[in-house]
Amino acid sequence: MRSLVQFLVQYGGVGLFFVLEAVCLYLVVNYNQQQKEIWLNSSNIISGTILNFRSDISQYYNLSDFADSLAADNARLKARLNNAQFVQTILMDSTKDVEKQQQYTYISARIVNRTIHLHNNTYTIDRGRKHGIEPHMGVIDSNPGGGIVGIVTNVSDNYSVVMALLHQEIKVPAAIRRNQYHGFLSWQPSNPTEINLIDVPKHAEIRRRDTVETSTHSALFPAGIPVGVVDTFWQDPGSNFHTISAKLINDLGNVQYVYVVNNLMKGEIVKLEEEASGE
Amino acid sequence: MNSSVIKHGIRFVLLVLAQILIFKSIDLDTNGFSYFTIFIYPVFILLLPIRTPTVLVVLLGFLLGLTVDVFYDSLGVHAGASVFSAFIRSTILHLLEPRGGYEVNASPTKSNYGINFFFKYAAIFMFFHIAVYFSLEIFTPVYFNEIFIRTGFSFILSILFIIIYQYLFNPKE
Repeated sequence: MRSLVQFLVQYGGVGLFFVLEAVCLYLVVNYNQQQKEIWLNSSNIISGTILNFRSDISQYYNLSDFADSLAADNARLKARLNNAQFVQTILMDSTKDVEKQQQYTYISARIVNRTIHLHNNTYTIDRGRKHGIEPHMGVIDSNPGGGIVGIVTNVSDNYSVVMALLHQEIKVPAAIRRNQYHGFLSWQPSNPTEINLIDVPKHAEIRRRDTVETSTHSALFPAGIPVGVVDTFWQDPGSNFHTISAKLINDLGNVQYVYVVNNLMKGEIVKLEEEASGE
Repeated sequence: MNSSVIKHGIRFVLLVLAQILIFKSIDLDTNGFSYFTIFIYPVFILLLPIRTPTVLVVLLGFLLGLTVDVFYDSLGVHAGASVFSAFIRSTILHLLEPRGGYEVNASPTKSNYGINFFFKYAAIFMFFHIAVYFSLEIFTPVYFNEIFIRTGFSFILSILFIIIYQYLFNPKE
């Protein structure tokens, strides 16, 4: 007992000091208006910071859901752009009000598998029949600068396979933006950043850095989407056509989000053209 | 021993009275900003016998501060400062210990160890007391300048009055 008292006398000072300072702090905060307000505000700042930190982390985990919903929103907005509309007005005299009809809608999708260095490259996307995807739909890049990705070939319930632009069998109508001379995009297995525009009439005037865009002749893509920039062009001996080599606008090696283009009038065009050729 | 306790008890009461009756009203208030507060009551802790256990010093400091707080209507602020300075008192005394050590039952006064010793002792002690006091009163590092200015002014004036006290009464214990 004596030694306990001795111990307390010798070392109790530190403990007592902390206890009494805590008591003082409690009194200060509870019985003084100004300090009370500062205390409450500061603890709000601290707890607020912690809560913010937590929500930042949980937001990070929700990021992919969020990106999906944004992509869906974008698809909806893209469908309202001018090049997704079919102009019904026949320009006679001075018709003022233009009647438009929805021609293209978009379905957002994410690339889940890809090849890039083969002779015939394909992509797999995470949208399928359930989401309204059918074979022979165009696929464009979500990149705001433009760029197309390929054409849907096979569809399952939840997934689709896309024939990439970097595929030997691809043949997409395209045009030079400046003068609207048309040709076809075609790819020779060489360089995944370049594509050829073939069958451009030889009297067409072409310059370097001309933009190549999707043409109005295509039923798969809305007109006017930039595809590439003219790099070199030449004329094969004895041929009546230019061959143009263009640098692709998008990098097909790292595309993540794409839009599948649904042309609401494609059936009509195809049926009509079949009838015409059948005659 | 008994007479010593009574002496310190009387000093406790007189210092608190001096603080709340005289020094509380000396207050240079400009536009709601008081530049200084003169602290005289910590002299009680300063002059406690050197061998007083830290536990007792801290406890007495708490009581002293709380008593002053009741009259200043700032519960906990003076008490917090007093507990802090009471706690570091033994460390300061240890730092300033003369070569021969302290005498048993002596108090750290001017008459016992000279004005030089007492000035250093009181200055360190009061600096911490006042700094903690204003930190608790202003209670936010946002007004660091205010804490700094008020600590400076209060420190100079308080030390002045504490030295005057030593010359006036020249206490042995």
